[in-house]
Amino acid sequence: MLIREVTIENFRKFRAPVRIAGFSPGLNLVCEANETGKSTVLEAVRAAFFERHGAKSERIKSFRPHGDEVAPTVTVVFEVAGETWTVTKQFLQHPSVSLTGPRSRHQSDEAEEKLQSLLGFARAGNRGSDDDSRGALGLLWVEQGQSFILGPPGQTARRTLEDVLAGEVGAVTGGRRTVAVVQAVERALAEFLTPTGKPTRRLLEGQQAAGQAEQACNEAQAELRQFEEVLAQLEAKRGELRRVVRDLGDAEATEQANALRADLDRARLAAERLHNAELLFERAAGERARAQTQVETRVQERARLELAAISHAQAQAKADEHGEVLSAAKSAETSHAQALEQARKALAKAEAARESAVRAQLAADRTRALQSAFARLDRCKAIAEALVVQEAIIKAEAIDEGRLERLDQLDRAVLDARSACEAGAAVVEVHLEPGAAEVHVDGQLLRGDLRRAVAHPLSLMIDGVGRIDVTPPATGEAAAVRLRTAEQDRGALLAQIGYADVAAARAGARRRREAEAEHETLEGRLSGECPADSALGLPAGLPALRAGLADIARPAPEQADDAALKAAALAADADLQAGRAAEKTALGRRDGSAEALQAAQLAEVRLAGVLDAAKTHHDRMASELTTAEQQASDEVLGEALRRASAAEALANDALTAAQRAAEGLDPTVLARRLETTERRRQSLLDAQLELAQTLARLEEQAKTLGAAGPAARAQAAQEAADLARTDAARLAEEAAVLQLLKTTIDTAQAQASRRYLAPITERVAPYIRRLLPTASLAFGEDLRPSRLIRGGLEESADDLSKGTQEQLAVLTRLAFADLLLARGKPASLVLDDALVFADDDRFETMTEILTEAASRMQVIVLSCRTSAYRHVVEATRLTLER
Amino acid sequence: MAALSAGQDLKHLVARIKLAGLLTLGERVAVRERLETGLAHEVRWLDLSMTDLFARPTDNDLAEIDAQGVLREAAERLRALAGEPGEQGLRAMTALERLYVEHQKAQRMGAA
Repeated sequence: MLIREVTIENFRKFRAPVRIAGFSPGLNLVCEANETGKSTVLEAVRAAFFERHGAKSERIKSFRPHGDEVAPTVTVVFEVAGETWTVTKQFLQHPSVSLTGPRSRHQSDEAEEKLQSLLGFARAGNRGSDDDSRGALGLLWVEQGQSFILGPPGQTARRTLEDVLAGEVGAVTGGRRTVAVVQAVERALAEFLTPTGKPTRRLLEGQQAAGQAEQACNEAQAELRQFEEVLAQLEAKRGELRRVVRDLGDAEATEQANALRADLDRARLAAERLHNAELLFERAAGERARAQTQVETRVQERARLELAAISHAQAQAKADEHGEVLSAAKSAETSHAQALEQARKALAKAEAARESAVRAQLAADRTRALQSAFARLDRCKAIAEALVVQEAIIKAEAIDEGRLERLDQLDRAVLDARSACEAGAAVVEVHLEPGAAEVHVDGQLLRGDLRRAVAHPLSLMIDGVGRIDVTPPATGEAAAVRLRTAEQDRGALLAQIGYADVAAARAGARRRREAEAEHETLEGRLSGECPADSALGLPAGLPALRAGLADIARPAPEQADDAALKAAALAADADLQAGRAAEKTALGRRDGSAEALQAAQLAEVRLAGVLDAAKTHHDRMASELTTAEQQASDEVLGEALRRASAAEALANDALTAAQRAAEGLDPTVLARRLETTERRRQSLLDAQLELAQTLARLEEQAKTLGAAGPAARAQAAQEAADLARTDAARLAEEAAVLQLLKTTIDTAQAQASRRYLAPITERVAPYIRRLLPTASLAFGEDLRPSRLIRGGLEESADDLSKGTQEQLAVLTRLAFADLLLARGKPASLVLDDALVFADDDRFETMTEILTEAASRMQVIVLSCRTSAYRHVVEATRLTLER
Repeated sequence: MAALSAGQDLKHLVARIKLAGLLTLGERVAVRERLETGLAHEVRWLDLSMTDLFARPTDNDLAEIDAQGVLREAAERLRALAGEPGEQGLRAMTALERLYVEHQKAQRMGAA
């Protein structure tokens, strides 16, 4: 398949004719800038082949340049199997198509069919061509933006490929026949079921017809049932009317009603008599009961009077007994009051005696306390004098601990300075022999030996010898100054505290410490001699002791007789305790007798009240009985009771006779029975009328329904429904058979497809390896590239990058085209703005592959990237000629 | 059929034919075609029942459909299904017969 030349007019942006000529059999490049109409060229070529010239769909209308009512026209010159053909197709206005070949010319639908058979695509549908109809070339001529879609080939393309593949694997027997059979089965199945398996056309009509026949049958059956029901009702109502007429003419029922009326009259009379007898009996019984009540009341009143008399006598007896108890209680209370008075006098006397003993004891205690206090005061005075002595010593020795410490520091400073002075000084030692000449040291005669550190220049004069000067080194001067200063400081402190030297000062300090210790001891003793004195009410301390004793005369030293005083106090305490016990005892007895007297007096009052009430009650009862007896004596009451009892017996006899007469004659029951009888007769009369009316209506209905022949109609409808059901079942079975056949063929095709996939995989493998060295591509049953296997790992093709997907899609199409070519089918590859997502390396690899493919088939590349294809020197470069 | 035709005016014939027996698939299809497309149009009324006329597809029947392609595979599958008892088996047998018929039609159209 080679495209040689394309001419376009009135198509989208090409109002004026545009021609592209000079297509080579190899690689063709149409590189133009954006918006120049490259994609429109491809669309026009696809329209010239795949769209029907007479179509008027929206897509076809979109071919017109905007706003112009013109006829889009496309002419393509192409070669198939070595023969050159020209197709010219005009759309919308005066649509036409012509196909001119080397030996023939075709017009209209014939031209369309010839094109389809030449190029292997299917007739487009009402909405225009689609992937399914465009066939293999539609798959290989890729529009802009479609090159990266890794979809399955359309139906026609797939069948073409499968056909080719079947040839490849040597399994072709009737490939076309298979297609024809499949299409025939699909067409037949479409008469029964939709693609989704729902009933349609013949099956739907059959099912609807069966449903309608079923409904008609049901209606006819219902009509028949209604007719039969009317007949049954008619028969039943006739029988009912016969029974009603018979019951209305029954003489026995009439006699029974008359007898009931007579019985009812008798019953009403007897009931009235019985009512009167009952009233009379009730009255007599009331009279008798009243008389009996009066007699019983009299007896009860008499009994109550006797009881009152007994109660009165008992109350009187209790009051008399209580008089003795009361007088005994009064005398006991009097004697106990006197005993209490005597006990209280004895107690007052004992208390006075004890008070005087206590006072004597207290006076003796105070005297002893005063003697002790004065003795302590004397000792304190002696201690105070000793304290004065010690304080004088402390005051005389001015060197306290602080000063002593200071003196020690200064003394240590002098010793340290002296040691330093002596360490840096020369020492002069002079040992004179007996009879030696006189020696003067610094002008003073030396007696005995001399040993001195020389801190200052020293002069030794030896008679008869001369003068020896000793000069100390200059470094000893500073030590001599520090020694002098230290000695001055120590001398100043000694002068301040009044001591001649350090030894005297240290002796003074020792004396002061001893005096302070003694002073402290004396202070302690003084404090011990002056404790707080509770007996005299004195606080602790010498001043308090002195102040407390200042105005008190020192008591005489004689001693009181403590033992006699304590004995007297104990005796007084014992007497007082005994007196108190006697007083409490007498008081308890007096209170007890007073309480007993009070209780006896209360009991007397209560008994007097009871006695009075009993007497009053007895008197009232006696008075009431007397009054009653005066009104009606016992004899009168007894006579009245006898008369009333006799009258009640007579009334009872009359009542019994009336009850016997009314027995078995209940007017209510009789009236109800009579009413029931009459109501039954009335209902029979009503039913007779209603039945007559119903019978007339049913007879009319039976006549109307029977005229239509319902049984025959029901039979006919049943037969029609059975037939329709059988038809529907037969159609359903036929649909199931076709469905099974289609499913089986589909399964067989799928299985075959799997076998067919191997050639595709083999053809695409070298391309894939050049692009992705370690990868291979696997296809699905629908010939769609489904998985990329890279380094043993499988990736879904959908998960790959857009760029890789596009490259795989182009390579897959190339493999398809190779397959078609191998079987002598028309194939060429057209790519519009493809490979836009490829990186530089892959783009170069892809252009190499396309260039190689161009040695086997025509490849047309439409691109806006002129520079990208500059390196492809083998390509034929074409431009749009306006 | 010949006997029916002899001395009979088929236009006035009303027939109810019930067939029973066992044939090859090709034979059964031929019988059906002869009766449905031939006799049915010649007689006045025909009630035809072939329910009890069973077919046993032979290798020749299947070979006529296809030697080894997709249709042969489908035919083999249907023959295997037809061997099963019950409704499914009968349906598979009918489907196989339909495949045979459709294939014949396609063959005729191809020849034409």
